[in-house]
Amino acid sequence: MEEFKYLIPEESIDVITHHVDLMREIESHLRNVFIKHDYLEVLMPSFEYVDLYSDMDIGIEEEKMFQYINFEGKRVALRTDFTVPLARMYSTQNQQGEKRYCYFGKVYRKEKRHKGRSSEFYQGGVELLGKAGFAGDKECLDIIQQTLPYLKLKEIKIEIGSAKFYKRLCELVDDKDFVNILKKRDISSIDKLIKNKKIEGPLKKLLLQLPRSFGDINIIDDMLKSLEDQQLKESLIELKQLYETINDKVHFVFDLAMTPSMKYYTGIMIKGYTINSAETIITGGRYDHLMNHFQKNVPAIGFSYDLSHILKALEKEEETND
Amino acid sequence: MIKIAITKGRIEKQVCQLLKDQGFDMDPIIHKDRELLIETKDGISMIFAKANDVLTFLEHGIVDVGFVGKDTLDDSDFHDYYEMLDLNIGKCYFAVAAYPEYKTKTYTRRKRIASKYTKVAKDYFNSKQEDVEIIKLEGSVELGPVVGLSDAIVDIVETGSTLKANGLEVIEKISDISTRMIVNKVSLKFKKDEIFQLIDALKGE
Repeated sequence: MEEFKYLIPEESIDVITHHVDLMREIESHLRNVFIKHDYLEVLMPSFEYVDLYSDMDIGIEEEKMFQYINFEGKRVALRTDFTVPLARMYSTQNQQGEKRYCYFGKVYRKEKRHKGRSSEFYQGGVELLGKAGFAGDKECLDIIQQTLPYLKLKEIKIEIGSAKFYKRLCELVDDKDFVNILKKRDISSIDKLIKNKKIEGPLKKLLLQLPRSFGDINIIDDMLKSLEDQQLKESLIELKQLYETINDKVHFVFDLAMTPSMKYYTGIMIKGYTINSAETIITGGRYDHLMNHFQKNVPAIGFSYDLSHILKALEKEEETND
Repeated sequence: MIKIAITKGRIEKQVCQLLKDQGFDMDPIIHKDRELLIETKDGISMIFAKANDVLTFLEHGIVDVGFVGKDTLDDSDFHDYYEMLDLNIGKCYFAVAAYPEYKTKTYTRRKRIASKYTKVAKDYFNSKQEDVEIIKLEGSVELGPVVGLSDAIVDIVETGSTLKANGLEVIEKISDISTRMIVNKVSLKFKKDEIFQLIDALKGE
């Protein structure tokens, strides 16, 4: 097998050879912030049953998992996410009440060939279990805000969306294609939908506005002026109240057309962007019903930093400075 | 500065004409020679690429906006972009085509379908709950049935004249195709005003 002496598999496209020190530095800053807020660091297993993920129908595609069949004849996957295994751990250890976990490690997702995409991502994040609503959301946004300077990135936007707003909107529009239209922010299809379903009044106005409804707090104020539906209003007022509690607001923006990237999100959804990364650098959200799957009724929220993407963006910043 | 990747050829010509009609400075592009990257006075930097590559450039954040046919989007496994506008140009459709007897013939074996768009073909027959064998051809897919390699084809139909000239006909229409404006998700967050300016112009507003 001489020919494989110098090559690495295509899956390993992103071996980090330099800037490891920089990544470790960011990681240790993040860890300090997490620990200061009483988060317990856990080392999660690398292998989980495929069924753990697929039974929950949360939108992680099976074909993206690195799988093998173990001695029981069961399918086992390399860890593809931290939230689900942590939820499992919380429930199997019969935990009660508030628990704070943080983690660092890789997740693995298969990619198609020759696309320049990675199959492994180094992540760090927190899960706050058992703390409902406003207080839990605020704690997470506080942590994010405190960590941002340590990422050393020039331009960061932390975008907040609402799964409540999204779900109510889907109910009101009541069309099977709407989710996809919203995901694609498809202005032409929204126009068609309004015409075909003869949507009128405030809902029409809302739908026409929606593709542009992202940006600073004014977006929420503008939207609130024209909303009539009580539930939609409430979900936005919640976002606004949360925003008021943030000390350093500069990085925080909103996207009212945000759709849940994981099916389990129920409340606020968080996405972090930086100009030099085509992928999100932070993702997370509230998932109050995920624990129902483990016969537990526990509210929860969590988010993670994609350190691989952050590092890539830092490298790109460096290149453009040269 | 807004960076655009545009599918070379007809889409390039049609979109540039649309932008010109809306008052954009397109002369350097319309009169270009063999350059692959051109910057205009309006702060547009445009690259010209093959359809699939437009998507690749957008995925990697090299460009903010792409102009590409729905056919390319449908056959790609990458979907993490905003598909904001249907330009209603370059209209055609995906269809299953074959010799007329295909409709009535019963097959005792797996049907063979030739297509350049294997994902579209697979998704279509899956939705019909039919198991078929898909054979990829890169061009002149009509050859499939003509030379007896396949029973039918899945391809783009515009006027249907190539089909007709070879004795084939449309068996069933699959979906509509037209040129779309797609946007990189991160770009939209950082270049909102510039991108919506382009959208409004293309919508004629």
